[in-house]
Amino acid sequence: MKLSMYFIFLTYLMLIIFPAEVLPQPYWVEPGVYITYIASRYDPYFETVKGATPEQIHTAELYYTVNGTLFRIFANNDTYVRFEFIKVEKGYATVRVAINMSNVTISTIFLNGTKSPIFWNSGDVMSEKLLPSHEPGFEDCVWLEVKLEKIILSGTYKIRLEDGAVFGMNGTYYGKTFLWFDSTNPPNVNESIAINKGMETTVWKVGTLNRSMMTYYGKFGPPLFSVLYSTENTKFYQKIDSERTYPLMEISFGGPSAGIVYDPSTEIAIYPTIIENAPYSDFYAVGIQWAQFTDEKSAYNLIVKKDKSWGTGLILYDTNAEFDKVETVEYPKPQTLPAYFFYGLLFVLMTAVLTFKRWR
Amino acid sequence: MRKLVAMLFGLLILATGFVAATIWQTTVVKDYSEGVYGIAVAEVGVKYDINNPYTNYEITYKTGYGGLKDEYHRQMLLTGNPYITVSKDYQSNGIIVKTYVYFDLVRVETVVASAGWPYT
Repeated sequence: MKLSMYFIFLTYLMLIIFPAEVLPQPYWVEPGVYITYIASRYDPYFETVKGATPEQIHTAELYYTVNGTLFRIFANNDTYVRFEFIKVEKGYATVRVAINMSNVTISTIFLNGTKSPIFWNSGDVMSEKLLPSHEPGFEDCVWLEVKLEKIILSGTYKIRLEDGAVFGMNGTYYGKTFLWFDSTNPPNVNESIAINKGMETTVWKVGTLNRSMMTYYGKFGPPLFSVLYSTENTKFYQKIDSERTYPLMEISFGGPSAGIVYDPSTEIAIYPTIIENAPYSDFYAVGIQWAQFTDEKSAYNLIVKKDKSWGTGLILYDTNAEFDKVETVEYPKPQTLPAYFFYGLLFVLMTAVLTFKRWR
Repeated sequence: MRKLVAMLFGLLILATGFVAATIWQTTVVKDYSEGVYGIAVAEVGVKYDINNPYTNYEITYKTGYGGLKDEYHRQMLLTGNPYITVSKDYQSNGIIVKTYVYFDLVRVETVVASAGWPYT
């Protein structure tokens, strides 16, 4: 009995020292844990964008479906994206995602005389316009353009902990979470990681970066782990009626469509949208069909100051997950000296237990 | 009855006059931007009444293109870098084309072109 207690103690010891070696999800996935990313506005960045007016430069560009209506949502000021683990039970984590945007423009097209869903607070409306369509075949349609001080888009979804599979609250499967990756089982090239309405995102390339990167939370690496993705060229259509659709946006790629930089020590995504685009299941599950994020301050550091310790897209801003803000991390984790120490300790403990048992 | 016929006749005259006064013209609004690596082109076709160009008009098409300059396109085919994402946003009055250029994990440039009617 006492011997089995010692083994239980040893198992816990191993879980504490080598959590990612044993668990499919990171040790920090617990109820109440949140991760916040930012895409901040930075006016000096505007001069680096060739041919654009300031109004055309956004920290976030989203395509969001509400009750079957597709909306385009652009944010000109800071955007925060926060993921919070509300519940972790029976092998699933329930996650709430909240996208907090300010200085926002929402637009869409629909049949004149019909009403579009309203998902913003009327108190935040700065202006609202209904503009007639001037396109042949859509003369019976109107464009809605609403300017808001701020808006929070939020939703909940589930992640299956054993493999990171993402499900909407109605059970629809959307792919795998981007929030973490399993360092013991990295994704394979061509592996599908997200699917939404026939649009699939697959792994393009995986690699290691032998350098550190700055985030607003702290410095991570070296090394760091990068995953690039591929997505088909796509159009996002508004359904006007049973016979007509209207394309609100078209996106195409000459290379990878998305990229994530992970810290292998904690397994957290520190730059989840380093190629700006976010064709990820964690967004699909809450109705976001497409998302692009740009942190303008870091983009300015990259483009003007040539500071490659920064990336762009969304950047880790804050978390209450319990891991240290380390300047350098060791990876792979159980390496020579610490590993010898651990296994030596294990051997001494087991010998002591067995000797003690024999003496009794 | 006579009054009704007279009124209808008057309306017919007015409508005929209005149609006769509408003179349609067509034009193309085009924007081109270029950076070091990439380009963006936006274009709309417009048919408008020369007497009321900004109220009585049709946008006949919206189109655009984003890409790399020739030398960088060849380089991309050989090395995989630089590479691009191109987005086209179809707006109420036109189109915005954005070309994002990357080397590995580093964005090096964004080039934007926009065209619309009334002219933007």
